[in-house]
Amino acid sequence: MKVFQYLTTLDARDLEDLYKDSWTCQAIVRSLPPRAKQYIFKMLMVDTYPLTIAKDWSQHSSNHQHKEALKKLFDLKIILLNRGKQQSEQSIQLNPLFQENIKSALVEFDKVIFSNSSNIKDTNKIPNINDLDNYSKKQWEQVLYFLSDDAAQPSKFISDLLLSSNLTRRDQDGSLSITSDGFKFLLKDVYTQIWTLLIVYLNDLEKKRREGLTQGSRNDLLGFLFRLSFLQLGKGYLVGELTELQKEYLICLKQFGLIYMKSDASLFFYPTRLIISLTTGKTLSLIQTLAVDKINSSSNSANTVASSTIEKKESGYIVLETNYRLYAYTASSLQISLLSLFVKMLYRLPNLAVGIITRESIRTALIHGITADQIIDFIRHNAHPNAVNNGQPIPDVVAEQILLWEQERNRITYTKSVLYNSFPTTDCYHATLKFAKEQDYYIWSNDQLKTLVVNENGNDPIRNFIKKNFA
Amino acid sequence: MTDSRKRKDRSTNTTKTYNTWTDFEEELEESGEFNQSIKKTNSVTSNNNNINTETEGKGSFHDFSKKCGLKKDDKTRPLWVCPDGHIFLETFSPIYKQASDFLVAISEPVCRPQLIHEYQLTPYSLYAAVSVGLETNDIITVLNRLSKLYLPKEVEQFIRQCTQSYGKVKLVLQKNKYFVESAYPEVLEFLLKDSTIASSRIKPTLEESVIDPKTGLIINKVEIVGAQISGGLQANQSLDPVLKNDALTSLLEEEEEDTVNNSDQHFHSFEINSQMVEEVKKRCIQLDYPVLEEYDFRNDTVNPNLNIDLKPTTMIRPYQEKSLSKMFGNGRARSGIIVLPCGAGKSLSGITAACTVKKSILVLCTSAVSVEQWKYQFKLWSNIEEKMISKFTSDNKEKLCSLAGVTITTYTMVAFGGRRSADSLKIMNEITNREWGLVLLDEVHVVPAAMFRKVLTVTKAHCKLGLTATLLREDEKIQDLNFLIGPKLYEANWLDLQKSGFLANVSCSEVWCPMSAEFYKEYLINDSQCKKKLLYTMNPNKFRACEYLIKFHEQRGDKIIVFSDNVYALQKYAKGLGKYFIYGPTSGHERMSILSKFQHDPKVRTIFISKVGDTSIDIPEATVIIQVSSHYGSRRQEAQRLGRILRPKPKSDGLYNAFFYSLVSKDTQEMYYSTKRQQFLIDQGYSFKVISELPGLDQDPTLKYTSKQEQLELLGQVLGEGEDSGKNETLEEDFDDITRGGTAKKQKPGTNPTAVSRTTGGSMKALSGANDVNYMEYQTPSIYNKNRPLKK
Repeated sequence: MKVFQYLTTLDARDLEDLYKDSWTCQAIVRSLPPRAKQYIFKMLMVDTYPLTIAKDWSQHSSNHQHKEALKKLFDLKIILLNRGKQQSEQSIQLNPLFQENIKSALVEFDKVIFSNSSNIKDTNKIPNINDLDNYSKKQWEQVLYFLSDDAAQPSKFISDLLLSSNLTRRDQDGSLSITSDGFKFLLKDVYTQIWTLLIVYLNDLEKKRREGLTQGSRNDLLGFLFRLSFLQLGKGYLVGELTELQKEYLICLKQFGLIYMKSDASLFFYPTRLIISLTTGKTLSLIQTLAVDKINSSSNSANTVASSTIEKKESGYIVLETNYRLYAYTASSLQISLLSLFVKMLYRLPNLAVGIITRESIRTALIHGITADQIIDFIRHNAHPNAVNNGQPIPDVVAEQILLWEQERNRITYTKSVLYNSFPTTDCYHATLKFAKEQDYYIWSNDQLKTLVVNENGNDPIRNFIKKNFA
Repeated sequence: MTDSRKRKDRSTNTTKTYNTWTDFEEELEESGEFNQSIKKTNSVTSNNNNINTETEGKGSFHDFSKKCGLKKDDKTRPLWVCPDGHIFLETFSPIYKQASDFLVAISEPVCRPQLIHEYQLTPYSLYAAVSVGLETNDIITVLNRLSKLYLPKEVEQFIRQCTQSYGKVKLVLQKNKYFVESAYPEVLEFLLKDSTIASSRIKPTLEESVIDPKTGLIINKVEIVGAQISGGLQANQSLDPVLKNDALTSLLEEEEEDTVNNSDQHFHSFEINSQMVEEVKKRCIQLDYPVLEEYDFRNDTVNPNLNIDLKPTTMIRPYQEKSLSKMFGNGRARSGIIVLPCGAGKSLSGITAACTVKKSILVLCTSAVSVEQWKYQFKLWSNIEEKMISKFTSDNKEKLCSLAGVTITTYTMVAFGGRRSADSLKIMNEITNREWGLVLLDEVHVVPAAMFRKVLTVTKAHCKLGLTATLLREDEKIQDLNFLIGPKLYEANWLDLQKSGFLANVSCSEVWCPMSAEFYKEYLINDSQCKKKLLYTMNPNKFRACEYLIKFHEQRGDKIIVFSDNVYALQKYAKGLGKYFIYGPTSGHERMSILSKFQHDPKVRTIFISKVGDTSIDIPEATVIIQVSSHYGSRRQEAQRLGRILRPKPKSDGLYNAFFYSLVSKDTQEMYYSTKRQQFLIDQGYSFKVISELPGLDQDPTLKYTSKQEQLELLGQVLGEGEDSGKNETLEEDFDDITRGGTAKKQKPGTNPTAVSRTTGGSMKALSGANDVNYMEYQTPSIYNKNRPLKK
């Protein structure tokens, strides 16, 4: 589930609460698709807008996008509908709180998120952007690693999160093992993964708040996340500026690799690319089909570059050949252990891993609940640029074969059943057979062996039948 | 499963141990001492190097990520070398072409699909590398230069070990005198310590030789000039660029000494008694210095020249030239094997080699039909006069040309050990007495070692060139060829040739035919393997699929060949559909007439052929192949059959212009074999598309065996077929694997006694690989003599 989908699930009161924060409003505007953005600015300076006129905002041909955009805005409770007595009197207006915040954001230029005017200098080595990228990548991979590798020992926070998100489960001996949801999770892209976990974290927080266990609240944390996404990459911010609650969140976010801190007691924290593009990255487009708009929609050009570079870095390391051999240009143990979910690995070299897709390897994956489509999508998304240029990120033959292997598993259906044999007489056998067929319990029989198989429901009636007639 | 056990028994029966060295030596001489020494050297090599051969290491996971260091500029380099000798090559590297040329020279290609190729260093491949003139240090430096990883120590050690003794000693036939030649005098001295070699040494008889006063060795200062390949460019040009490539040096700025240039080197040699040649060769193998045979044909003044040249209109293709440049790299002719895909012009390569050597040429092929085709090819590409070509087959016994000429014959004719007719004997004597400049061995993969040995001992050849498309056998005997003929000189990349338009673009499909319920039931409960096989071959759904495909392609105007190994099925299908068919008992004359009808008569669009058509039948018109039944998991057969339609096709609509269908009965053993069979082609970059359902197959009521009634009748016939078809099966099974024919005497007692007696009777012919002859042996003579009906 992505963040804006998540927001739409919140009730009006929570949203109202969120819109109190100017940064949240800005973050939402920033990541809306252009059409929705346009509508907001159209209505920014007016109180109400007759619905009939709003209909003319779009040409007939793009009516679909128009409706889509309006629906998003309604869902997010950004646009409110004023019902009039008659159809023609219906009007729409922006959520006043939201409207106010955006208006003020437009006029106030010198608003600071966290002040860093302080004279305190970071005594530790200041990390550069590369360091931050490496750090966040390492941290996040570690989280994923906990999932795919049983031997790894996650921190309590992470392991609790993984448990309550149902990605892992605790076995009888107390060790954690991955669930089929966990496998599916591993095959998704980074932003979806982060949001999946963050949302679990948010919900946990809300639950705890209701039970009075914590001061923090979901809305609080969401606001904080949106605020963080406005920070500048490579710059340090004072921890001391934050509230106690926010400091708590910081420690948690650090474990995801969203924030860099030298140690928990450091004076400074550094946002990483992950947090900055979290709301503007891949997940930002509310309307999935408008993929093209993705890049334009981010208002901050630096962020566009940032998110596109991180995309480039992440994508494209798999070459799959028609002979089912798979070559992965990677040095990451995580990616290799990921691949080994459905590939039989043969070689590992410093920057290359080689494996082969076999019927067995695919079946193992299928048994774990990964679908053939997921595997194919995963390979397609991560295809090496050279494979993509070649016109086939995944050879048709291989893709078809994987699908066939999946179908193969569906050829057999299981029915719980009962087997009867050693009937006392042939008559008894035939009578029972007839009865079973009449009552629709029949599954299989063999006249020579005088053996009959019926489904589970038929067990009692048939036993009674035999008792009654032949005992 | 009984089937698999049976197959296992069979393979262990034919070749007791798959140790190619000992196996070969056994045939050479059965003295215990001799074998021991070979075994010893063999074990030494395998102990010292830590390189697993491919089969050993297969399946396990190798983690070399810690062990190997990555170079800083790895992006500019095209390949990875693993400590176990496995090599991965990126085809999108700018220096891919050079790198792949180099790798083909030093290693075995494992698979070559689109983007990343795999190669494996083996002792044989390194032997081949050395014999085409690469030196140990060059191999190591170039490999290291191309590799993204620092060259692992094991690999370097392995290369040194494999190359230190190979290729150091050459046996040169010069002016009809034999010399043992080497650039390393110490090696010669070492060899001369051996009493056998020392005793065979004679005083130099040539006047102009310079003699080293200390060692008494002859010193030749040889200036190496590449031989002019007929119709081509200077020969040794193409090998050197691999080593001192401009692109390489500029890309990877590394200082490079010019170690490669050995064009001005001293060679030391001593002459040996020509009677003792065989003896000396044997000793050298024992001493672990196998001799390379080279033929200095330009300085051979004794043997008469043959007036042959390529026609001016004949163009040889770049890869043919490249392969030949390996053969004539240093101005002499080396023996070896050239591997080119079917349809890529193997014959032309052979003929070009013949035009380069310009001495008497002997061509050995597998069947009488291919003898005709070779003759035609000679006339087509070269300017040789027809009277200079003589055929020697059971039907045509033409006299050899008095001076120099081209003789085309079959392996069987030469290797035949029984009594010959007077004409035959006369010609045979001529063949054995003549010194052949070049022996061309066609389809070397089908002929077993014993047969080669026989053929190669009776013919005195200066140089041997083996040609094949698929250098692989299920029994792994292929390595024997290394020592019987010579190393593999060149192996072409199928996909590259296809991309350049030298091969047809084939769409390969595997069509799944569900077994009909009744057939499947019988299949499951029947114990007899032959019956099972017959049941899945005769599966009515397969028949329908076959008919459907034939109809479809006939409408498109294609020419179709249907292959069936099973003779019963072949007849049933062909008669059922009213088509011509060719199988073992079909006489040579009938075959030619059917083939010519297929080529020229627009009404004859489809023919059925048993496995006699697998190799060497050139039918350029064919564009579609449908495979109904096949020989278990034979990868070679699959590739050979595909080869029938690989000749580039002029007609082309859309992406593909040739079609290969393999019909497989679902849920039977056939599925397993089918996967195995395709492996070779898949490794060459072909992909098999699975068709699980033919569109419109069920709607066509005109197809045979549509009704249950017909299907049940067919089942009855198949089951009733009993012994006869079963016998067909077993015979057939023995028959494809020619090695089995050769070792028929060793058959285990469990096999059908009648089969044993028959096989023994024809064991020499069975060796041949000339399929037709084999068939004759198996069938009762009366059947053979009768005029077989061609058509229903």
